[in-house]
Amino acid sequence: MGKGIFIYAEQFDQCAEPFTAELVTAVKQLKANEPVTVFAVGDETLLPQLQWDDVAVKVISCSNLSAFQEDAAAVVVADFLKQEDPAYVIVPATGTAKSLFSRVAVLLDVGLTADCTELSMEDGNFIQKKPAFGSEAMVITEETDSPAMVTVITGIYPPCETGKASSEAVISAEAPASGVEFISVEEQEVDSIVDAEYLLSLGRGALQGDSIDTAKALADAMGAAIGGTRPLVDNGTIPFEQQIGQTGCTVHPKVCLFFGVSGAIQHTEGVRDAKLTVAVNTDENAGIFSFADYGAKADSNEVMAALTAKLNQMKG
Amino acid sequence: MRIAVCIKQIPANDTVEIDPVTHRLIRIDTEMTVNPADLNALTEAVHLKQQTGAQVDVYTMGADGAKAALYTALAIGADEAYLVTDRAFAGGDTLGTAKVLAAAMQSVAQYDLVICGALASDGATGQVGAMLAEILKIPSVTEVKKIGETADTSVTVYKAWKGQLAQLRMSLPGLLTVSLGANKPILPTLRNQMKAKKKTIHSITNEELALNPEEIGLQGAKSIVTDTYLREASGKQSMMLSGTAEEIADQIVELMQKVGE
Amino acid sequence: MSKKKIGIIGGGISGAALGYNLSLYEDAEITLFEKDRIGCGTTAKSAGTVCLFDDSLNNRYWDVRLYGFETYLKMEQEEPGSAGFDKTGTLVVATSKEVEERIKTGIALARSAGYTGEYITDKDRIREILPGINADIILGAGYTKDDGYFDGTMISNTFAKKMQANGGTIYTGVAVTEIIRDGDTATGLKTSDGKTYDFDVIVDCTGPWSKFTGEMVDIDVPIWHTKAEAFFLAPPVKRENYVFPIIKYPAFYGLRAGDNVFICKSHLSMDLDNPMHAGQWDPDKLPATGGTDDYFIEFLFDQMDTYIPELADSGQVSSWLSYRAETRDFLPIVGDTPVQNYLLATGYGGNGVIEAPAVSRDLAKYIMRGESTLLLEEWAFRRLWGKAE
Repeated sequence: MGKGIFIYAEQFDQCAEPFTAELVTAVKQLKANEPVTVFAVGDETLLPQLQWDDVAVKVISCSNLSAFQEDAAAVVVADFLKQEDPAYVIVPATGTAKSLFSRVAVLLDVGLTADCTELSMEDGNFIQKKPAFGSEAMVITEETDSPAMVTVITGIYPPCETGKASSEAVISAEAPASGVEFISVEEQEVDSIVDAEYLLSLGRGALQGDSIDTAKALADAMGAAIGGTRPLVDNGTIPFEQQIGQTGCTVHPKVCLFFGVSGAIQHTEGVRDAKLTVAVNTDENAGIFSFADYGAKADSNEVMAALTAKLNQMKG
Repeated sequence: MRIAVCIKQIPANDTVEIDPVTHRLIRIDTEMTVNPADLNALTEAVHLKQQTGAQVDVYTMGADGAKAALYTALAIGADEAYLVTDRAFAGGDTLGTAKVLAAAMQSVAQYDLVICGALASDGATGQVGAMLAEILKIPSVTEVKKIGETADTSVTVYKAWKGQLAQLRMSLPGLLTVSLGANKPILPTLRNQMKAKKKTIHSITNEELALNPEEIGLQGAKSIVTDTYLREASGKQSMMLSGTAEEIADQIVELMQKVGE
Repeated sequence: MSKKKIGIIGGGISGAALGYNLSLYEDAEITLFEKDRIGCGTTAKSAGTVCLFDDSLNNRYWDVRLYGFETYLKMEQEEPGSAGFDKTGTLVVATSKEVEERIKTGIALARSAGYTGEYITDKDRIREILPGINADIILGAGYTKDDGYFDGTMISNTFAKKMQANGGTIYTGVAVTEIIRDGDTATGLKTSDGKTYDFDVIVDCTGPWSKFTGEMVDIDVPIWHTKAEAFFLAPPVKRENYVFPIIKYPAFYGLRAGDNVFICKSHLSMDLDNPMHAGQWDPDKLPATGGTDDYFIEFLFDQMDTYIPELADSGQVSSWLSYRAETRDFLPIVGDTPVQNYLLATGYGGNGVIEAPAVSRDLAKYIMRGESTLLLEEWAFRRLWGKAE
């Protein structure tokens, strides 16, 4: 059994991601009586960005490693962890960190418990809570390995206030050759409702006459895509590609606002895993109110207009 | 070029109940479907097949019922289908699953490209792909939105990253995981479904792979589920917001800000 | 004036239509209980076709069909979209002399009511209406531009709203758990939220669930569940400015769903004694999507490849399974039961959307005024007594 809790700090272009501070809170709340270390792969400019009271900071400096080279980075991180031999490794549950530590898990031959929402220490056992089975249920898991590696969903714990690191170190390492070459970063065009993060889902109640201009203005203000129900497709207000549900497509937005949607299963079936769903409908019996997280009995067009004004005003 | 695609069968609907005594999960609805992101992965593979004449083999791990997913894959355009099935494989965690899949692939061919869905809509760990790559000792790019130019020794891919697209070149052999919604999935036509049913599905068991049962399946799992409970009561009801249109709008903005970052 | 207190169990098309019709009597006090949401069960999976001349309902009851169709047309006129009408027209294909005869009768009836309808034998014309059809193997087809399909969920919600406007009460998310009886008479019910209600009349409108609600009053409701297996297909060819009509063949029917096509097996081709198609199952265990049997793909493929080969090359978008509540003679069970003041309006099979308006009109009058109608006599529970097994 190793010693200490290590927190992985993700960075890009030597800028540490702010959510590392949340993981520090999560670890401090464990009251584990173990030394805590934050570590990152990068250069010494990361040191001042990773300062918390009673937390050591270690930066693995690796000049021949560029972003997205997970195959090579995994070797560097695994070697480091073998050297340090921590009892627990806490990783942010971001796509890039999860890919990297999946590889590290193989190299260390340990498990990796994904997407934890709550960490605790009970009678010396390290316990994790995480959603399972399509988020309908929660499971509690225990790790049997050392180090016990878990990824933690960001945005759950409050960030820990910065302070002064208990110690600082920069460790040089040589990365092996990578099979991945970074070429460039380019703007992504949101071309379909399928990959939209913000989505307005419109039903008959969102129409003003035959127009969805109010909704279009809101979509512009929100940077949202517009999808809709069958009646709007049938009357030609929106193209078939934008129909959601059984006969159209399944969407996975972060936020989905329903305006004037009655909520027949054909439609709600098409919206999965959204983090936030809000429905506005004049009919309090609308089926959508048993689907959406939040609901409001109100006129769709009035709320859309108010929301547009509010968002535009916030942008200044 | 030879491509392997890994797919997974998941419950079609999220309706679950927990037995109040045993705390075991009860699925009210046992309907299964192919994990949506895996369909995007398979579609990328079939597009590459159309461009380069590649052979596409599809793998899934599971019991006999998982054959349905393989028949769907064959109807969509896969050439050969492998059911990786053994009691010793069951109940494994992501690492155990990756070890079994890697061994199964290695027993069939040297693949130039392995493609997986970025994550499963049920477990949503998004780990098996990268683990598979590490076991196979090949490079990987995860959460790919688009595959660009493909040569014999490398492939150009676009990865979703912080609201932008990162363009990367990966040498082959390599592994990609494809994001949900990366493409419009090819649909299995009725005719192709009928044709697929006549094809043979190859079974791979631990008799062929001879993996140590202590390192895979339930025995090899590194994390133990100690308890299970439902997140919320069924019969969901929206939390109602009230007020004028402006007040409702304010509350919606607040809610959006909370999930925004 | 003392009001008649009526409890309705079930908020699908059957319960919602009945609730609305009862609410037109000022001495009716209506309470409707729906364990989920209005129009979200079997009704939501209905195709909603109300065609002027197909074989879904025997021509003997043509007035029932017409009444349903015109009720929804007027609903749609009153508030566009409230019945979800998509006026696509219908092509009913004649595959035999017998079918041809029936279509021709239907056309005469439709024209009698002032609608258009024609029997077409010109194969090129049929191909124009339905490109991709194998016209060589059919005798002809009946066609009208005047009808189409509706949305059962929207209709149910519209009826429910109108009923509330007339003073009716709706409880959603509330299940009925017990029927209270005094000897052979039903007097009230208990609900899942622990409340008790007294009623003068209780009507079971639970469709496929009525097998189980009936058990609460020891009535063996003689319905079987048949599988309505529906498929959404994406046709290989997209045609600009083309409206895919409702198509009716003896063994299946189809209609447009956006650019896609919805295909379902026709309910009258079901054998209630074949466990593959029919049985007595628990509708609560139905998956939201999927759940269809393998044999059905084969069946569907054969039908498509034979009659509309182009559709055999359609991609399968999704599928669902629903249970229809069907009686031995494929007609509903409406009205009195052996338990006093406990009535049924169930067993609509695949025809709930078509039949509910006329049945509800007559049943509401019977409940409020005691006056029966020819339709109620023919569809009475009595006809099936002693024939249950």
